[in-house]
Amino acid sequence: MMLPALADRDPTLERERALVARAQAGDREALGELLRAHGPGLYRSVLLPRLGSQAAAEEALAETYAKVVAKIDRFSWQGAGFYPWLRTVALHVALDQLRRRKRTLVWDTDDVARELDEASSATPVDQQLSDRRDREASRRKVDDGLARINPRYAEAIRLRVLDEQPREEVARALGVTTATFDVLLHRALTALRKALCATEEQQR
Amino acid sequence: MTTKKAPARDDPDTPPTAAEVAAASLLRRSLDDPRVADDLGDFARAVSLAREPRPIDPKVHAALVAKAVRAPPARGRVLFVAFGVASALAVAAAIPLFFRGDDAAPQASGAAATAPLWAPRSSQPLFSEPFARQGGHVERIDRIARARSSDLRENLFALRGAR
Repeated sequence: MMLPALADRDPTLERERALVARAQAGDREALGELLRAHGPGLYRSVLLPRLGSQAAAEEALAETYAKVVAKIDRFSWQGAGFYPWLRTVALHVALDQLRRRKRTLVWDTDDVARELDEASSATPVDQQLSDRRDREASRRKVDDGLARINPRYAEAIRLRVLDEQPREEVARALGVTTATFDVLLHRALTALRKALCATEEQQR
Repeated sequence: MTTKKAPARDDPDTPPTAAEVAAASLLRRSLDDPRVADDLGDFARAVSLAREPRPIDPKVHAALVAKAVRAPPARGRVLFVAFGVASALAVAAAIPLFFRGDDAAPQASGAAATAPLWAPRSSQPLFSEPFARQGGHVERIDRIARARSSDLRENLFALRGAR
């Protein structure tokens, strides 16, 4: 006995399936609705953490949308919803951008390439779950990097960069002058960058 | 037994070099003002965004969606055809130049034989407005193709003595 497709039992997915069919038939209202529903999560959980800047993430989202418009007729509904495909398109765009920019960020091209390999089977149908997992993975990356460096360096980064406390207050908290703190933070970020690269080397 | 000395940057308490002080100062300025270019400053911001990504501005997102739904369909095919047409016209407009002064070419009237031919040249004068950061390339190709197709027509007329 064949189980009914997921879309047949889930009204949200069924509605989305109808929207996708309309978008594929050229209905731009339907397309807009899909993008408005999924875009903000895609930006915040997938693109921004991987690309490391608001401008880069916005550019990537625009490019993702352009690809979706161009290729939506090739999308085939298989009961897993629209978001997993959208996320894959976004990851490809992010990977291309990282390759072009060639700068050391928290995520590098190998990270994103690995995610793409897993995307088709590992992306949850539910976008909220997928977004939460993506954000947790990103947070874990940073925390693992901080755990690998000198604790004073990690503290400097947490207070100044992550908590965005004023430089003078952080220097006072660490018991150093502001000039010394500037050097300390420079060394801390250099160490974190090195630690993240080292993690990548180990994963290859 | 000798112990390996850790590099200065791995030891928080090692006195900094002048280069380190300068680099640290640049980092500080970049963190205070993102417009100040500094690789490590950008990395710091990336770390912050990776740990706590912020939501997109709703107005920015609305504009991106509006732009996407306005985009023409099948852009790749249109662009390919436009490029093909523009390339063919540009090559065709240049071909008569090879026959200029060729004794085997048909003799034109005296006035038309000295009429100047359009040579390949920059298309920059066709555009007075700045290019948009994204898009608009199909329209620009169309404009170039229209302008150069008239060059081809005039070159052929000139060679055949029609001017």
